[in-house]
Amino acid sequence: MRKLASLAVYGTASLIGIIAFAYPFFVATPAAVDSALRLQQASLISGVLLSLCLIALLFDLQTTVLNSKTVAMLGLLVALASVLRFIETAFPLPGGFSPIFAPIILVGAMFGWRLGFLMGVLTILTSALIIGGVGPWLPYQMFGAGWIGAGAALFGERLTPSWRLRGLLGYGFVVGFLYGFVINLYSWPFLVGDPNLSWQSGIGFAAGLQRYLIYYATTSLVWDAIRAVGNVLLLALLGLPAMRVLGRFARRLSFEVG
Amino acid sequence: MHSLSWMSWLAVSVALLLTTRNPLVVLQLLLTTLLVWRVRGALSTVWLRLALSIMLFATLFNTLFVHVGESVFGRIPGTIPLLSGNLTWEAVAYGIINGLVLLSLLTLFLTFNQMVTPEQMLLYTPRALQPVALVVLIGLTYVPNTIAHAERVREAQAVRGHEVGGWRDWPPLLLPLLVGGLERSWQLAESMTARGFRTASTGRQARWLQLLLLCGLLCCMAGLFLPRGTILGTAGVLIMTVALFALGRLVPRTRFRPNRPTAQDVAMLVAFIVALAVVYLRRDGLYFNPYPRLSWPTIDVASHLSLLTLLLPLGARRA
Repeated sequence: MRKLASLAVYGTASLIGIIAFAYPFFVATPAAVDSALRLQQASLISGVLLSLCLIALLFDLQTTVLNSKTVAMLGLLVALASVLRFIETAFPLPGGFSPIFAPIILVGAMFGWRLGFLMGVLTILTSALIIGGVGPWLPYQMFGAGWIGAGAALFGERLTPSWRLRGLLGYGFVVGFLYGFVINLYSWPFLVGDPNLSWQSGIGFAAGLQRYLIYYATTSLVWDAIRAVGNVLLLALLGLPAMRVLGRFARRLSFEVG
Repeated sequence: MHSLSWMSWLAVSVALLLTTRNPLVVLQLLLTTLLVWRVRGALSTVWLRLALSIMLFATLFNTLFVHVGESVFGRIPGTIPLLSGNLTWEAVAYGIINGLVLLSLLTLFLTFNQMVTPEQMLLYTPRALQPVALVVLIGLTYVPNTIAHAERVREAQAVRGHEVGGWRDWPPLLLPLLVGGLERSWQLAESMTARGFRTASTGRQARWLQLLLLCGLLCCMAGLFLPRGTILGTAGVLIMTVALFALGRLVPRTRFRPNRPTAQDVAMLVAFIVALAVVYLRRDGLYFNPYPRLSWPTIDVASHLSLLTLLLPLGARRA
């Protein structure tokens, strides 16, 4: 019953999060004069809604998985991933490559979707506090990274280590593009330009999606491809030994007396 | 000035910046933030280089890729995708405004980060989310420790003859870092348990409150699509606030040195809310669109005067 309630909370909050991300496809007003102001208000409301979704999700997740051991472990892993993001900011890395996604994916695969989601959300939040990357885009980044961590649990205990790694390599490649695709939704409506790829109110979901796909392909595809390849390289290099280390620690975490 | 006052100052400024493209309002917010930063903190010289690069990039990007507007000053010939077409003053103006908004947001958060430390911010996390806040606090605290550990690992590997050249040389540096971090977390967990650390309640009352939280969230979402959306949305936020507050009461916590806001902080909070209300009531003044023909932005005196309240931190007593 409790598990069902927890899944219901996660499913509902994630669905609301998806709707909040996709707000550009739903904002529609007939008058062009009004649409720009309403767009800005919708952007603010969407950010607030995402933050509220995160609060609901975080509360549910912390009651199910967080105890002293997991709090400490997650804190140290978040610190490690934040250092990687600091390196990414201090030294120019090619394109959209970021070393933080590999640890998020590995934690999700080894410890389950709940800890994977927390790892993604809290890595982005903590590293943003360190590098000064706090802004209205933060809830979007947190949600996106959280979903990446949660999705990696699909390649969990059921698979042998070698098949798990192969699955994670493919997953890392796909989410390299997905993350950019989803995050760009925040800024797309504010671009005014070529009518084939800029946002316009009231044209409907299908036409809006088509324009967005063209916008994404022309402005972000190469950038995200570098991120995708970077994820694959990091996971190929560190995946197996890191999974062995995390697996040993997972067994210690689950050991209880009595 | 109490950290809650800074948070309300930030929230009002960000809310205004995200809902306007009027260059006069944006410029006023930017200048206000710079003045507060200069007087209350240490304005970084790096900011100037950052400002120039943001403004240049935003203006150039919009001018080169957007070919909409009636005031044409040039043209990129040919059929180059995205680039070919008219160059217009409207696109230049919109690029400048976008740059100003981005720069203002960045300046706001840089100022805020200097005034309020992450530890102070985390103190004001709702009690119901205390374990999550603790994870973030541990992460922040152990970042310098992790960097120092990485340096020790690098030196130890260098003594063994390991040199970092390419990609394949990174595992001997990163894996000991991971193992060391996990071992330190185990010790931290033991000391937390010894000090009686406990996470949030999972009893029946907590589950009902959690459902209430979800109902509030559903109300907020319904407010986006249904008529009378503002009322529904506000009701949703109120329900979530009540649920979070009630959940927080289930988490026992004591403070040895409570840091309460003073009368000055309360007065500032009221002033910020009044300013936001005035600007919202006269929200037509927030709107500006340079397309299709460039024109002068609206000057709403009442809004500009009410935004002067954001300068109150200049005269506030330091905490």
